[in-house]
Amino acid sequence: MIELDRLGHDFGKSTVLEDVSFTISPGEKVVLLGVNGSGKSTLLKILNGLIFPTRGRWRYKGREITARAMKGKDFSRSFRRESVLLFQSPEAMIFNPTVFDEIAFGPRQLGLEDLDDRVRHWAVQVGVEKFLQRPPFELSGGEKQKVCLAALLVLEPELLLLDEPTANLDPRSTGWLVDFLQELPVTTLVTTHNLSLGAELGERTLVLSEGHRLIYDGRLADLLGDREKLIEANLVHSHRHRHEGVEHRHYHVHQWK
Amino acid sequence: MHIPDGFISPKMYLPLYAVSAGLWAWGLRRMRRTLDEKTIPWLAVLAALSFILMMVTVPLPGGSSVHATGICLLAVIFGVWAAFLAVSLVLLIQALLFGTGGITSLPLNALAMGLVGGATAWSTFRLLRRWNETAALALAAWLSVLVPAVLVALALGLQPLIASAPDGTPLFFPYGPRVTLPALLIPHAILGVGEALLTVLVYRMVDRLKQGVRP
Amino acid sequence: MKDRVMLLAYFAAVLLATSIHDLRFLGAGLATVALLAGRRLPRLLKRTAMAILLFNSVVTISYTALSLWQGNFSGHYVLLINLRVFLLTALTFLLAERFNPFRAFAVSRSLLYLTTLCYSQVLTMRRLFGEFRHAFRSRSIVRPGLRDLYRHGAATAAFFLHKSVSDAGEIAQAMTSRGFFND
Repeated sequence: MIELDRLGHDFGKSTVLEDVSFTISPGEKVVLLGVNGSGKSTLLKILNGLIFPTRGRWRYKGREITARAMKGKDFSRSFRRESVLLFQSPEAMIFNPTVFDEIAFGPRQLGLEDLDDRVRHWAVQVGVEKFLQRPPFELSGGEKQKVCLAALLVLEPELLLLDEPTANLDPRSTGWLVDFLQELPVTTLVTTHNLSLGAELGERTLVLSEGHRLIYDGRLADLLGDREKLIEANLVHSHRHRHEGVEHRHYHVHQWK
Repeated sequence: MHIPDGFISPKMYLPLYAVSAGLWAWGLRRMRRTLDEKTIPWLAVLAALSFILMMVTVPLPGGSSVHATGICLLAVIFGVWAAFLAVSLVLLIQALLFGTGGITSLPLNALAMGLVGGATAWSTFRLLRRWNETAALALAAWLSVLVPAVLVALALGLQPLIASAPDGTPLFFPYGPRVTLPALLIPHAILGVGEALLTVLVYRMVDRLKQGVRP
Repeated sequence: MKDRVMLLAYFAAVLLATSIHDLRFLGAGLATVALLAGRRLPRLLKRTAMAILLFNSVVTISYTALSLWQGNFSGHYVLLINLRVFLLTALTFLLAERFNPFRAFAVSRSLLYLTTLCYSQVLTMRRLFGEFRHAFRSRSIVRPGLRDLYRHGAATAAFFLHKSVSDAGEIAQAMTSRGFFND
C-alpha cells in the first residue's frame, strides 16, 4: 500500500528525516517509535500528502506522491478520502459548530447519502453520541480526540495515520483507544514515544533514531531484546535504583501510562 | 496595506515616530496602572496573538483571499491601548526579525491600524451594541479596515505635496490623494466585509471573553 | 554592544537613504550592501526582488504610463524610487539575518524580556497555526467552500484568543514564581 524509497526531509538547514525506506501492506498495524523530535510527525505529514520529501520518493498504491500528483482533482479526492491523519492536537482539526457537523464534514463534501446514520454510527462507536448537538470546542481533550477520530472513520478510510494519539489521554481512555484500534479493520500507522505502549498498538514496529534514520523494522518482541538499538533510539533510560539498601543502575522502561 | 520602505518621506515618518513614541509611553503607563507587573506577559502574548490573527485568511469569493487584521477583536476584547501596543510590537518584530513590513512605514501602520483602527472599532461597538450587537460588531470591524485605509491613502497621497524635487517630479510616492483614496478605499471597502463576517463569527465563539478581558 | 551599534548604523542608513536623492549615493549604498552580504548576495538579491516586486511594479508601470501620457515622465524618478526601495529592503533583510535584536534591546530589562517573550510566543503560536492549516487541508477532500473557509478561519482565531488569555495568566504566574518582580 505504501512504499518509501530512501526518503529524506529538511526544514531549512536542519534534517528531520534521512534515508528512510520501508513498505506497509494492506491490513498491517504498524507502530512508529521514536523520541520527540525524531521526525515522526513529519513522516506522517509526508504520508498524508501535506508536505513533500526533499529527497527520495514514496508511493501510495503504486503511485508516486508529489505536489503535482496532489494537485490532480480526482486523485486528491480519492487520496484524501482513503488516507486520513489524526493530528496530535485535536484542537487543530476542529472548526464546526456542533459535533454532528464536525463528523459530517467529510461525508458532506462527498455528498454521501444517509448522512445521519453514518454520523450517528461512528459517534456511537467512539462514544460521543451524547455530545452530537454540542459545540466540539467545549469538550475535554480526550472527547475532542474521539470526535476527530469519528470524523475520520466516517469516511471509511483505508489507511489511518495517528500522531501520538495517547499523548493527551488519561489511562482509561488510552486503554479504550488501544482496544478500539486493534479491532478496526483498517491499515494503521501509529506513532508514539512510549515503548510500553508500542506492544499494545501493533505487531510490527519501526524505530526512528535521534539521528532521524530508520534503525529498526521488525517485531517488537525482538526489539525489546536489542539493548543497543533501544539505547540508540533513546527509548530506554537508566537511573539509580534502591532495593532494600542495595543500589544499582540498569537500562529499563517504566509502565508510566 | 504592505507599503515597502522608501515610499514615505522622513518629513512624515520622523514626526510620526515622535507621536508614536509618546503614545507608546502613555499607553504603557495606562496598561501598567491596571495590570501592574502582569503588563509584560500580557503585552507579549497579545502581540503574538495579533501576529497570528494577521495570518488568518479572509476568504473572498472566486477563490482568492487576503489576511485578516484582527484589530477589531483585539480592541473590543482587550481595549484600545492593549490593541495599539500589541500591533506596534508585532510591526517591530516583523520589521526587525522577519525583515517584512518596513521600518519607515511602522509608525504610520501602528497609528492608523492599531490606534485609530482600534479606537474606531471600540467606540463604534460601544455606541451601537445596545441597539444590535451583531450589527454593531460588523460595522466596527468594517470601519477598523476602512478608516486606517483612508489614513494610509492620505499619508501616501501627501508625499508628492510634501516631498518633491524643485522641478515637481516626485521623490517618494508619486500620486496625490485623488489617486490613492479610490485606489485604497474601493478594495478595502470590500475586504472589510470579509473582516466583518469573520469578526462576528469569532465573537460568537468566545463567549467567556465577551465582557472584555481586563486581566 | 555590537548589535546595538548595528541597529544604530541601520537607522542612520535608513535616514540617509531616504534623505539623499542622488542616484550615485544610493548606488554606492547598494554596492556596500552587496559587499557586506558577501557569499549570500544572490539569495539576498532574490529575496529583496521578490518582496518588492508587486508594489514596485504597480507603481512603476502605472507611473510610466500616466506620466508619458501627461508628458512629464522622469526616468530619474523611476530609477530613484526603485533603487531606494531595493536598497532599503535589502538592508533590512541583511540586518534581520545578521543581528541579534535581543542583545540590542538589552538596554532595559523590561524591553528585553518583552521582546524575547513575544518572539518565543510568536514562534510557538506560528507552529501551532501551521498545524491548523495542515489539518484543514488534510480534511478537505474537495476544494472547501466559502462557508467552511470562514468557519475554519473563525475557529482558528477563537482558539488562539482563548489560548492567549490562558497563556498570559500562566506566564505571569510563572514569572512571579521565579521571582521576576521581586527587585
